Amino acid sequence: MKTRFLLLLAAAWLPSALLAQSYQVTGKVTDRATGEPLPGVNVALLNTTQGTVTDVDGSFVLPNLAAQSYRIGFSFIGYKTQALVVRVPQEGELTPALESDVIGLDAVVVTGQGLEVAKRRLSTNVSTIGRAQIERSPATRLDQLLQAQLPNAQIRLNTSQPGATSMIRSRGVVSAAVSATPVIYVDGVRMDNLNTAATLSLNTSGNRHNGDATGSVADIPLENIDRIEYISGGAATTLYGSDAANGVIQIFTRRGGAGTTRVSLETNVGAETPTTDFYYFDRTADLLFRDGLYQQYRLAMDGGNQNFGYSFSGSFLDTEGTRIHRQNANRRYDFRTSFKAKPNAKITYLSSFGFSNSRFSRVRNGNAGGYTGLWFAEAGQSAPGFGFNNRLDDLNEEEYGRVAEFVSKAEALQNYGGNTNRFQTSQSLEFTPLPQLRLKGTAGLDFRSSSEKGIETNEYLIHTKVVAANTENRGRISRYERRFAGLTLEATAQHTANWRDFSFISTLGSQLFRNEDNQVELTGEDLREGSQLVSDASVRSGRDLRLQVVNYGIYAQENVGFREKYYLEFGLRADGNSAFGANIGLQTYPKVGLSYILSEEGFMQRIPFLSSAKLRANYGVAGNFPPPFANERTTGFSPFLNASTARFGQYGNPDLRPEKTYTFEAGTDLSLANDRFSVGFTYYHATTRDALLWVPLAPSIGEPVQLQNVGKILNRGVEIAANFAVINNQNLTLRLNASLNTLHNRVLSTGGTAPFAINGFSARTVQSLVAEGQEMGVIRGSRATFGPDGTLLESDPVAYIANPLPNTFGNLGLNLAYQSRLTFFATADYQTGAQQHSFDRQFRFNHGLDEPRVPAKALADAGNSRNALWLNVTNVFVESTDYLKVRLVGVNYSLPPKWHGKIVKGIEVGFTAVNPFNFAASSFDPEVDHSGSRDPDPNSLTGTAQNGASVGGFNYSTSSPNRQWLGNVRIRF
Amino acid sequence: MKKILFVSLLTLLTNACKVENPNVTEDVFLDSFGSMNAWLRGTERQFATTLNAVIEFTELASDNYFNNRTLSSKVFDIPTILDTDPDVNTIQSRIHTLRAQAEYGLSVVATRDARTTDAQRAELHFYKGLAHLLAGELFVALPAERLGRPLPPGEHLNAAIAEFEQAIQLNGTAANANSVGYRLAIARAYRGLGNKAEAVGFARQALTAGAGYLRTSRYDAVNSLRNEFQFYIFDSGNDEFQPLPRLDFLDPKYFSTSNTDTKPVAFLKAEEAHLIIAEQQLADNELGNARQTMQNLLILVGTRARTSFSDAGEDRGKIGGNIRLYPDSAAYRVAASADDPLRSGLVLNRKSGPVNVSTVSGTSVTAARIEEAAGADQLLELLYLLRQEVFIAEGRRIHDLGIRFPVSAIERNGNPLVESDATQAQIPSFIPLNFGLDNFTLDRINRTVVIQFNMNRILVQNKTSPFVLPFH
Repeated sequence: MKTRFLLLLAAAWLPSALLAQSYQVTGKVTDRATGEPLPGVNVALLNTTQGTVTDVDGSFVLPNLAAQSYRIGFSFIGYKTQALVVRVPQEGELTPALESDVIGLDAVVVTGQGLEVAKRRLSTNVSTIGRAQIERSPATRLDQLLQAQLPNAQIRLNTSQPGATSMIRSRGVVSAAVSATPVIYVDGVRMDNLNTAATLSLNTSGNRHNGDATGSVADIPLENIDRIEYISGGAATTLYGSDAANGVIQIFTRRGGAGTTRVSLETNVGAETPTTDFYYFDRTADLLFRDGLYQQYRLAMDGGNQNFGYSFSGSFLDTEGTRIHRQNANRRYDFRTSFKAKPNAKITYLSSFGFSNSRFSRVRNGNAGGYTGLWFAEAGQSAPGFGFNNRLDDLNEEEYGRVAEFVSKAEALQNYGGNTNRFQTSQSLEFTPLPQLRLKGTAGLDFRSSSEKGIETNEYLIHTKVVAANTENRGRISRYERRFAGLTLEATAQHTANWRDFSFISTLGSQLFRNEDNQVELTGEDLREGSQLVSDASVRSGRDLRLQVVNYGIYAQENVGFREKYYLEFGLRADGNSAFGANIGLQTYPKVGLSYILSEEGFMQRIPFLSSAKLRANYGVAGNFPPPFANERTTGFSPFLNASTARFGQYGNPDLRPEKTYTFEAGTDLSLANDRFSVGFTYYHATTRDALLWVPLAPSIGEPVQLQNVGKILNRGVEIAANFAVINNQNLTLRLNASLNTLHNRVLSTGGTAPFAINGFSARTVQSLVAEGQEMGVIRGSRATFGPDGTLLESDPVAYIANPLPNTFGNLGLNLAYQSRLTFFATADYQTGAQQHSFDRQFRFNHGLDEPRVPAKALADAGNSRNALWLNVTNVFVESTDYLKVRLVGVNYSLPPKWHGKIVKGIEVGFTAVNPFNFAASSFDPEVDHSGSRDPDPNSLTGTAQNGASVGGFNYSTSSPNRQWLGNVRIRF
Repeated sequence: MKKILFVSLLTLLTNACKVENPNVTEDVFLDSFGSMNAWLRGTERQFATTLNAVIEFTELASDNYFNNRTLSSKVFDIPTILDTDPDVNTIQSRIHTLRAQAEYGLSVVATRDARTTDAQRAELHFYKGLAHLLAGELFVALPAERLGRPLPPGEHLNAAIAEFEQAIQLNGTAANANSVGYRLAIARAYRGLGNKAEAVGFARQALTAGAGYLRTSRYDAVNSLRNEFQFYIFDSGNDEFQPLPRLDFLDPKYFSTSNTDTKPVAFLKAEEAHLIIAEQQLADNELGNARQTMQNLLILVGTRARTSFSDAGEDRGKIGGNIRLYPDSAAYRVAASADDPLRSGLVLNRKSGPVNVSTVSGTSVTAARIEEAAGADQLLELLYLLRQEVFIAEGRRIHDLGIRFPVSAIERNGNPLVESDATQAQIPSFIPLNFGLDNFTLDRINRTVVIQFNMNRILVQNKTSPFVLPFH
């Protein structure tokens, strides 16, 4: 056996040219519209396993061919696939010119399908972001990269602080217990996508870590991305089973090029400036913010030949941030290296390794209490908390100088920060025993280690008036360590067959992932000044937490085509999961869908302006598995007076199962006027049944909450994405794109559970709730009604006063190119129909600042006691959060070759502005919505629900994402 | 080769599928060594947690403290007490959990842990009795079992007495210092029932067994169970809760000198026995005896600890914001109402050196005032002032004011036996609304404070009300 294997291996590596007389086919692939060469195009000998990709000049070589006819296929993201018949030996060079493909009927996608399937066969919608889009964004984190790029998703960075969590959602909020963040895969390996505070983690923003917690999405290595696919849920995600009701993002990395080695150097250098548009006081910006330097350098190289490819990309980022004393600095190293080897015609080995290291500083934000910069300035807290006149803009220079001096010291003395190290790898082996059968096995790991620390010295506590002067024993330190290890194993087989007018793609696969999450908190009290070690504190304590979950599933899918225009797909996934209750066996997720390429019909081809048309409809189920170990009944222990003490632990639930989202969708993709205009339209109706709710038990039961499958949540809406090539000629192209999504969300049932909070503050101020008949995350607070003369007629203390979910949202984009050398681009996103509550504003009223929204009569009637009135009029501080935010504006220029000679293959220079313009209906930044999640389980260690649901909805002393003004140079060798 | 590959793959898959819950499942716990020790300590911890909620919310709902900031309840000061208020739910949840924990200890843990002693059983009965006692003192009604019918206060007080008596049966000898507390708790429950004879009988037994008896609930800052009220009155740098100005000299009863310093809370103390006896004597018009009992009480109070410490961080409100200003210097004189004289010595200087505050019991009532009081009603008013001052920051005042919390909406949602009248708070008509309990006028020029309502006088004026003064 061993000898045979070695012989086989040797034979595979022997150059086949030695074995027989052979020929090669060469050519160069270009863009039909512009004539520019296209690098990275897949060139495949159809009906064989042989192929290559074009190099930087668009050139390719297919060696080792016999003297006969071949069909060669050319495919590339964003272009229509083309097939040519070539007679070998070849005369002259092939010069296929690819036509851009707006709808992408022939583009292949992987996510949700097991292995590659052409989009035309799919009844579901897949969004793809190509390399060009990725390269022009200076984003340093995945969520920022995707912002305004995915037509059907909303992405918000909730703060300017580095490394913090974000909010990603698309088809509403399907769960009341689990975060809306999609699962994220890199080369088939599942990533840690925690986008809320971890249970044990640094808290610099108070109540439930709202807003400034460290998240895991921020440090996914971003180097060397080839493309990103996104599916938003429903039938598209059914093959991911219990893990995908929120959708799936999959990153594919470059696996090496072809031809000579290519090297590129890139630098982004510029300024970061604070977004101060929304501040109440003009002087807030000066008090707390300074412009900072942003610099990023990248080296990338790739190369290889037909049988071997390699690719490397590494970058270094250093940002000073915009907070004074550089308290939001971030330094980051990223690299990824990938290989592809093809030892013989049947076997392909793919490998990628990614690493990132990020180190950042933080400051107190939000509801952290005590001294918190923006609370001090913007919420008027400088008066009641610190004895200053809180009308900052009215202060004379001397008074203001005293405030600035106080703030400067309070900011400088803060010592919060963290660093993460993340390592990922994906190893795949593809085996193609027959041209029509492909087998692929993938194994991979995501290992993330994060450390955070916070130190409050006596000097800081004395300065910020937490303790009295001369205190010497109140210094404290907290440290948090989190280690996440995720293992993914997947095996997939895909068989293609044709019979008469029918074509079949059969997929069978199995997947297993295992996540292990270990967290440790160490705290020390009475820390000596200058120390950064818990060991140096006089009283030390610690807590830890371990979460493990395993999900294993098998799936099968059949895609049947008839005459290249009718497609029927159906599939099923069955899952087991360690978080299911003991009474729950395998869970199944079916899907079925139809795709109809209307434009293939003869009668449609006679319609002059129609380029392509597709109708699609499907029904599918996807799930969210429950939090680990919530199924088991436990005894809890709380140390007390130096001894172990026992109490009721988790209530447990042997019937705990995943919540399932049942989605029906139907839509069409149309392309008109030679692809000048295209539009995709989808209607979806998604009902989450057995929704997981932390049900507060009747108090007399004596135990607090139980996780139960008792809810029902509806999300429905339409998704429209349009592209319009306004100008499309050799010299000039102008493309516009826009999307519009509507959302109707309702918590249809909570199974009789009383409304409970998922975010917000105390029940007597303002909270975001899950309540039957309301939108998810509806905000509850007091609602005042006033008479015509401003008299307070009534105040209902528990009224629903705002809905933070928008009813419309989408993106806008523009791309103008002149001779393919000069490109101008812009992206933006918007929303309407949502509201947020401004606690800053409510505080300002309470702290004596002018507030026209509260009638003078009501205040006079309350004896001018703002304290007596302020929490009875919470609805007054709710504002509409319609907005349009321009995310990117940039220009790139590719220098003509005569300027750089032959060694340098290309030089591009550019300028990009990030977040340059904001237009909002609200007086505060609607993107900064304090979207932490709170744990309804009072026995939880911290009250923070790790990976819990939240929809934000609160403005509370949190800084907006920064602006960046960056110059860019990229040199290719 | 194939076998090795197959076995390796199978091992990898098998190991990858295993998860291990690091927490302790119920059966593992019950079979573990010393489970009763751990469970009893857990029950004590649950009582401390319960007392935290009781004190925080009931002190606000009474005239003792006002929430001058934004943390904690902003409506109990009014007082607005709704069944939908999560804070209302929190208090009863903790009381029920205390009851359930004690029951589970008696019915499950005690039967599985053969080393369980009578002393441990006695303590579990005691804690179960305390759950009933708090239910009977603070709520209009509460279930006494899982999803049970809400029982009126009297039934809870009787249930409490039954539990305390079982504790005495199991471990009621003089050798057990806790048994004084069992008797004192019975006296307190009988007082709530208006049963003078039994209340006084047990009060005298308690005094005989322990004239200076004190039982406290302990806290542990290192392990995240702090005396929460201490945070609101001292540890927070924001001066959250402010005492009624005539009680300023008693604040803060709990304070810290380091981050891990969290003070115990007295919940049963011999003062209670004197107060019960004096109240019976006044009810029976034994004025001389009552005066003597009250004087005895002053002697006991005089023996309790007082501590000097810096409270310079306390600002008593701030100018410039919208925080209510409180008197902040000993120069202030305070009148308990417009009809009362201005008295000195009730407000402390906090910025000019350490303050000296009672950590168990303190009072402004002097022997002379007891002697000068003319007639039963004036003595009764003084007695209720004594109760207020001695028990400040212990969560006792709303019971004296006749305010009771309702059954929460969450209980009503899950428990079909809850009827709508149990979901209404009891706020007697003589309780002033619109923050009246905490209102006062402050004259910063003349350094005087006049409190709007002297609630002790109002209580005496309403002594025949069924809601208050149980012996009258």
